[in-house]
Amino acid sequence: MDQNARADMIAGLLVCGAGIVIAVYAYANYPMGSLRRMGPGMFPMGSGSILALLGLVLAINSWRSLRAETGRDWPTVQFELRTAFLSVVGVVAFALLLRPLGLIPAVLAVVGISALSDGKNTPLGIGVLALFLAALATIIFKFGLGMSFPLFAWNWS
Amino acid sequence: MKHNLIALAGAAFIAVGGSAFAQSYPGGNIEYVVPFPPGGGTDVLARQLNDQIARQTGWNFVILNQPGAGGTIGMDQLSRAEADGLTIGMAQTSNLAVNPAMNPEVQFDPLTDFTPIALVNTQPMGIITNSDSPHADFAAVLDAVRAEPGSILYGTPGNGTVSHMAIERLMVQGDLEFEHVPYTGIAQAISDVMGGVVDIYVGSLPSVMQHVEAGNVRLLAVTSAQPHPLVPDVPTVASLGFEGYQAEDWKAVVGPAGMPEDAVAALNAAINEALADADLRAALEAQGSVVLGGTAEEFSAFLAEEVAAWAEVVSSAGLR
Amino acid sequence: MTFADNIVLGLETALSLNNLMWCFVGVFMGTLLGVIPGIGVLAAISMLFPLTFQLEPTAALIMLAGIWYGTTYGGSTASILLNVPGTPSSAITALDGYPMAQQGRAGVALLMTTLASFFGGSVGIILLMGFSGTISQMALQFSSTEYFALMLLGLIAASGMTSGAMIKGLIMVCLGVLFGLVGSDIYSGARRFTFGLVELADGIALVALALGLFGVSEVIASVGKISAKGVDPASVSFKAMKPTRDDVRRSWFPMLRGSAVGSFFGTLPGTGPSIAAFMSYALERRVAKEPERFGKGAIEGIMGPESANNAADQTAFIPTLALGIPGSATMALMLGALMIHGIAPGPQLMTEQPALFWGLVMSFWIGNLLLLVLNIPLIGLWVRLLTVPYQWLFPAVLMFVCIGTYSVNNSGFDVLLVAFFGVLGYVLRSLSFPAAPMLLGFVLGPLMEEHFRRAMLLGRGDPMTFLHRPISATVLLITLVLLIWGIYSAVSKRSASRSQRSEPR
Repeated sequence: MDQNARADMIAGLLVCGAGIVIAVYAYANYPMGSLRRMGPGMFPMGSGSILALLGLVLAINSWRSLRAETGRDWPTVQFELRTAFLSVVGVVAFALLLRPLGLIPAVLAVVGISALSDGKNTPLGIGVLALFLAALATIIFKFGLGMSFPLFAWNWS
Repeated sequence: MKHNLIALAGAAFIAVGGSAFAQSYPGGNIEYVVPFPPGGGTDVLARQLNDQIARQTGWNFVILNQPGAGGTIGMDQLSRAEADGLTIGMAQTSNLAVNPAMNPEVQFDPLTDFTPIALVNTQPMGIITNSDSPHADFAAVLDAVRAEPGSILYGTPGNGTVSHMAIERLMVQGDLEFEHVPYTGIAQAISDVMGGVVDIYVGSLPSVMQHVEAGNVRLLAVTSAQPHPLVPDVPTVASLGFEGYQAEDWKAVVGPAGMPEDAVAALNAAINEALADADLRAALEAQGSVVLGGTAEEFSAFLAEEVAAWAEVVSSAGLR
Repeated sequence: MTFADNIVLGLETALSLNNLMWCFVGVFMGTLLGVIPGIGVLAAISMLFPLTFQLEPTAALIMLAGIWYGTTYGGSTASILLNVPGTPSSAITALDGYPMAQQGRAGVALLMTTLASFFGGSVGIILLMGFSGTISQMALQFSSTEYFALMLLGLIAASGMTSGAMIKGLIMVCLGVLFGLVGSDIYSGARRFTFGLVELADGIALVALALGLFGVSEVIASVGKISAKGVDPASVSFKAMKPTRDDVRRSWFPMLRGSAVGSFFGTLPGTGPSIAAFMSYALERRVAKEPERFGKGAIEGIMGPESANNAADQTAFIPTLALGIPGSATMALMLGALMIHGIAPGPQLMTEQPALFWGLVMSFWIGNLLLLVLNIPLIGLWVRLLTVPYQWLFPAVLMFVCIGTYSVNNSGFDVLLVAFFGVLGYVLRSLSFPAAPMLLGFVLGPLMEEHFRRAMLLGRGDPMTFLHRPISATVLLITLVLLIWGIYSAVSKRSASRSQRSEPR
């Protein structure tokens, strides 16, 4: 894999910041307790501090290799924003639609939305795929395993 | 007004013969919320009870296991379900009486957000110790903790369980100081009692009985008000100078607030009829339960007492 | 009764037509459900639990047990083929199994994991048959002090388990620990990092973290990049399943070591197959002559963990059956099944219900054999799955991930967590942070906290308690040696490379 010193330095600083925030939050909100009866804050504060330290080490290491090899062309980190966004929206839609609307609408949502992220899928193909998978899920989970969610519902809690 | 008349008529029907009414209720599947995972004590009890009711009435129950947060997630969901009598669930001491007093984020009120239907059974906690323990009986344990407060470590299956609350109640009532060692369930706790690392362990009677019978541990006391029929010779905590002391894990059927009275009456009648069945009764008693039953009103009054009593323990012990 | 009588009695029970049928139903359903991402053993058993009401207790237990070890067989399938773990304990299998599939060796990987599973399972069963009493007495010697020492050893041993920068692995372990700490504190009941959400009171579900981190992020990274997961039809054929001589030669010792590691962790309540798989992988990487092959399709990296998690599956029955102490939620469910039928599980089970006990144990053999016979022909079918165009396959994967996660706790919130960890996992993998150490930290972190704090309570505040107890002192000593050795070899490697660089070539 490509190691990207610039991205690593930023990641290290972010991790370090997160560690500090967690340690401070734990210290401020949860009792530390004594050595015999430790409070709920001890481990989160400890782990947060270690995380901050590790982040700092990563940042410093990357900074040093950045300085050592100036002028090198670092590969840029690429994110598949469209795919990530559509996949996640699909999963979230499933989570929000299963209760109240039932299994089939939720499956249609996750399949329909996430399938859009691949340019090779046509609208017709997506429709067929979504209906096929909804039927498959119904057969496996509802009839096969007798799971307790309705296929269609209105306001099912 | 009209509503009341119908209810009265319904009550009259029941008085004549419960089964006549059963034909109009439920008119569909009854969704049954079990706020714990399948296979646990509550789930097993719910399934045994529902099977018997189904045999008697032909009603169809659909069990929905909704575990989480000590059984309060399922209860919260039940409290917000439609109160048409087709969604009910099984509650118990910890999620209906203890947790609402202990945890600020519990949204429901145990007294106003539910319709009590019927008590089902109750199980006391058993207090056990290593078979080679220096403490001959529970009185000796009490002496030790009086002589040196905090010297006795007691294990429980978790924070906020009836086991934990049982000792908290004892500490409040007797002004004693035990040291709590919570475990996550019974497995390691029993292993630690057998290994002698923890002084005593408090767990539901059925969960500790098999280890008592195998001779690995000794049963020192039970937490019910009366001696338990399975172990009549084992003293109650109350009999050791703690008048009125009791800590039991009861289970009961409840629905969302505002359930139609006829549905409550039909369900209560069906539950009592099921609990009268000799086989089910024998099965429950063999597991260490005392079968309860009774009217919805009795349960309602009992629940109010329990909620008040545990809220008192929680606030005196400073657990909130 | 003698040992031989018991075995005969067990075989008679297990081979009765009725029990044999339920054993088959169990392992068949287990394999199929194990293949589906997210449907772990607990969910599978919970779903099929009500069915066992109608069965007599021996048949019920045989079926439930079949589901239990069947899911572990099936769990590796999705890991190897799609890099989406079927069960959390098979996430480790993906580390080297998926690269093998990418090299067109999916059939070999699947066949070899099936054999490793069978091997590990068999070792576990032999231990269960012969040494239940001894082993369960040994398990009683383990209290929180020993557990903490073991977890620490595991964490140190596994810290360098993935290739790439060590520091990134450590950061991921630490992040995993922190995610593991979310939820109610066992000791005080305090809600940590729950931000008022009651759904987080029990912590983050393992399945949500594992599927988000490995499953969803894999989908995001793969969409549009590949058309059909890059397999040529030739690799689907039966011939392509045949392992090379080199594969076989490399597999023996990992299987033996994996079985030993798995059997050990299986007997300890609260640990189980996931930790066993991690430890085995870490061990293989440590003893390997060329550790750099790991993560690129080293067969040792699948054989060790797969025999470990199956051995752990079987030995997990030792404390459950011999002591009545259920080591995991799944084992508690098994005991629940017994209780429904009015059988008190516990120390007397073996003497009071010999037909049930030995019938169950013998059914494990038969079940494992059935799984072997069942899985080998299925491999061809599973590999064929890879010829489905990826643009159709990935929405199906996401759907199964969603339903599987939901089914564990009937919780829509857990599905939202999958989305969260999917994004997080994708960002982290784009920055080449390895995901497996995070899972390790997530599993081990909370256990380490639990046991450390309990050990301090039981030791009444004296940290020397860790050195006073012989087992924990020994384990801590091993840990120290390992740590010093690790630092020493890292330093000497660095100075070696430095002196190499400075020397004129």
